[in-house]
Amino acid sequence: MQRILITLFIFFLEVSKVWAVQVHGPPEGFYSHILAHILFTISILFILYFSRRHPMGAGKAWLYFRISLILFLLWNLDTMMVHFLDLRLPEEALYLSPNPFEHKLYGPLTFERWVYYIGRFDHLICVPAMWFMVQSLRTFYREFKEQKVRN
Amino acid sequence: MESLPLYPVYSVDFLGSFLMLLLSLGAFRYSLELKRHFPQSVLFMYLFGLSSAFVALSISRSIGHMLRFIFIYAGVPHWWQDLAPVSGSLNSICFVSVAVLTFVYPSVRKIIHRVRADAEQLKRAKEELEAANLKLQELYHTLEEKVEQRTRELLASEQKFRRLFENSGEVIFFCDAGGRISDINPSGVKLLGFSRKEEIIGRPMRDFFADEDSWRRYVETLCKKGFIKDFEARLRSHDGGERYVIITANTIEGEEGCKRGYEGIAKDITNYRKMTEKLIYSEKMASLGQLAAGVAHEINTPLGIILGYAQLLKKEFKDHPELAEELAIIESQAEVCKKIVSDLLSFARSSENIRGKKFINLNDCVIQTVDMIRHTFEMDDIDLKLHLDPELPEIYADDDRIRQVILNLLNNSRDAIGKGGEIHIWTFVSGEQVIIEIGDTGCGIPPEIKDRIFDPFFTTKPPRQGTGLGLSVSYGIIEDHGGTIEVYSPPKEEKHLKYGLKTVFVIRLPLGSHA
Ligand SMILES: Nc1ncnc2c1ncn2[C@@H]1O[C@H](COP(=O)(O)OP(=O)(O)O)[C@@H](O)[C@H]1O
Ligand SMILES: [Mg+2]
Repeated sequence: MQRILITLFIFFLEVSKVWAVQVHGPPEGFYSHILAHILFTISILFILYFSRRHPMGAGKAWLYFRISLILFLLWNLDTMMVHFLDLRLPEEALYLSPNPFEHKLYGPLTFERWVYYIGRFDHLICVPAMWFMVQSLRTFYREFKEQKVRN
Repeated sequence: MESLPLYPVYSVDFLGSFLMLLLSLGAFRYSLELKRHFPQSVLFMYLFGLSSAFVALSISRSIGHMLRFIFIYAGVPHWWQDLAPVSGSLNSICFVSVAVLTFVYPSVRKIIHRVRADAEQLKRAKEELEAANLKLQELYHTLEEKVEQRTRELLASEQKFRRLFENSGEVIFFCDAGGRISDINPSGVKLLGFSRKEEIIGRPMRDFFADEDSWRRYVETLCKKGFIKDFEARLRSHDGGERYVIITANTIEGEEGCKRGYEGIAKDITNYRKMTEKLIYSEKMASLGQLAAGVAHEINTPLGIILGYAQLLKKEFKDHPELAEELAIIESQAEVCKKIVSDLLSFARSSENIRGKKFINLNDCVIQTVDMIRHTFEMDDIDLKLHLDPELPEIYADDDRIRQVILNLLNNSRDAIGKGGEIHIWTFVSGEQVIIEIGDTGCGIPPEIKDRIFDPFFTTKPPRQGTGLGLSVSYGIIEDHGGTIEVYSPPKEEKHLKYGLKTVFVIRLPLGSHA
C-alpha cells in the first residue's frame, strides 16, 4: 500500500510539469480525475475479489457481471494509460486544426505512439463491458422474476 | 506513412459513446425494475446505484465525444470549451461514486445480513414461542379434560360408596382419634334411637356402650391389633332400650403410622339374639316339663296314700281333738302338695300333644272365665272391663286350656293389684292372628325379673300364695297352640297407657290353626 502511495506521489510530481497542455485542464482537475480512475480501479478489483471470496451465485448473471467488471477494469487501465501517454506526447505530435477531420498524430510513429493511438479506441472495450453489464442485469431480472413467479 | 488520422478515433468515440448511452440506459432500466421488484435486496440496490453512475458517466462522456462535434458543426465550438471541464468533473465524480458504492456495498450487505439474521432469529423465537404457547394450550386443554374425567370418575365412585353408606342395613360408622363419632349412616342413627345424625356426631362412642367392661375390651383390642372382628356388644339407645350388635372395625392409619381414628360396621343382632334366647328357653321348658311330669307322677301316688291315710286317721281319732287337729294339718299340707303336683302335671301336659282341640270363639272363653271370677274380684274392689271384638273369627284350640291361661293371667293381675284397680281385656284380629290382651293397673314387673317370670317355680309371692308355675304353664299352652305370649311392663301403646295400665300380657294365636 505504502509503495503504491509513493509511486503515485512521484508520478504526480512528474505530471505537474506538463499540466498546461492537458485536456483536463488545471492540475487539480487532472489529479482528481486520475485519483478517481485509481479509486475506480481499486473498487473494481475489490468487488472482483469480494465476489470471489463470497460467491453470490454461480448463474450466468454472475458470469456476465464478472466479465463486465474485468472489461471495465481493462478499459480503466487503458484510459489511464492513454492519459499518461497523452502527457508524454509533445505538443507538436498532434495536429489539431479547427476541423476535427484534419486532426492527425504525427510521426515518428514509435511504439509508444502506436500504443497511444490504439489506446484511444477505448470504446472498443467499454461498450462490450457495458453490454455485458446489461446482459447481467437482464439475466438477473429474468431469473428473479421466474423465481418470484414460481414462489 | 508519417502520420495517423484521428478521425477513426473520433468516429469510434462518437458511436461508442452513443452506444454507451443506450446501453447504460438499458442497464438502468433493468436495475430499476429489479430494485422495484426486490426492494429488500442489497445487491440490486448496489446494482441500481452502479447503473445510475454509469448513466451519468455515459452522459458526461457523450458530452465529450458527441457534443463536441455537434457544436463544432453547429459553429459554436466555444460552447464545448465551457462544457469540457463539466464533462471531466462529472467523469471523475462518476468514478468516485462507483468506487464509493462498491466499497460501501459489502459493509451494507454485512449489516443488512446481520439485521436480517437478527430478524430471522427473532421470528424463529417468536414462532417457537407461538408453538410452545400452542402446545401449552393443548396441554392445558387435555389437562382440563383429564381433570374433568377424573372428577367424573371420582364422583361416580363417591356416589357408589355414598349409596352403600346411606342405604346399608348395617350400621357404618367412623370415629376420630379421640373416639368421637365423626360420621354414621342412617341405619346407625336409627339403631341408636336418634332421628338426625347431627345429634350423634361428636359424641364419644363409649356413651353408647351399655357396659364399661366391654367398651374397655373393645378399645384395647382395637388399639393392640389395629382391628377387631365380630365383637359382641350391648349398646344403649337414646330411648333407653338396648341393642345387641356385633362390631367389626379397623383403625385408620395416618401418614406417620399414627392412628387417625377408626371405622367399622355394626350389625344389629337384637332380634336374632331374642330368637335364640327364646329357642333356648323353650328347650329348657320342654326338658323341665319332662322332669316335672316324672317327679309329679312319682309323687302323686304316695301323696294320695298319705292323704288317704291322714283322712282315715282323722275319722278314727274324732274323739281325740288334739290328735284330730294335728291330722288336719297333715291333711291340708298334703292337699297343698297335691295342688302343686296337679299344677306340675298340667304344666307337663302342656308340652304333650293336645287332644281336645276344636273351633272355639275366644270371646266365649273370656266371658266364661270372667263370669267365674267376677264375684271374688269385686270383693277386692277390682273392676273388670272387656273390649271384645264381636266379629272375632273362630280359632282352632283347646278351650279348657285357653280358659286356664286366661284365669292364670287374671289371678296374677289380681295379686299385683291387691285392692282396688282395673283389669282390661281386649280381643281383636290383626292380620292372620287373633290377639288377646290382658292389662292391669297393678304394681308392674320390675325389669330385672322380666326375663324370668315365665320360668317354672319363679315367684315373688310368699310360699302359700304362689307356686311360680302359672305363667310357665300358660306359656306352654300358648306355645302348643302355635301362638306367642309377651309381656309389656310398662306397656307402650296409647290405648293401654290411657287406662293407667302397668302390665299388659299379649297373646297371639294363629287364625284357623290346626297345629
Ligand atoms: N300382672 C302381673 N303384675 C305384676 N307381676 C306379675 C304379674 N303377673 C305375674 N307377675 C309376676 O310373675 C311372677 C310369676 O307368676 P306366676 O308364674 O303366675 O306364679 P305365681 O303367680 O304363682 O307367683 C309372679 O310372682 C309375679 O311376681
Ligand atoms: Mg300366678
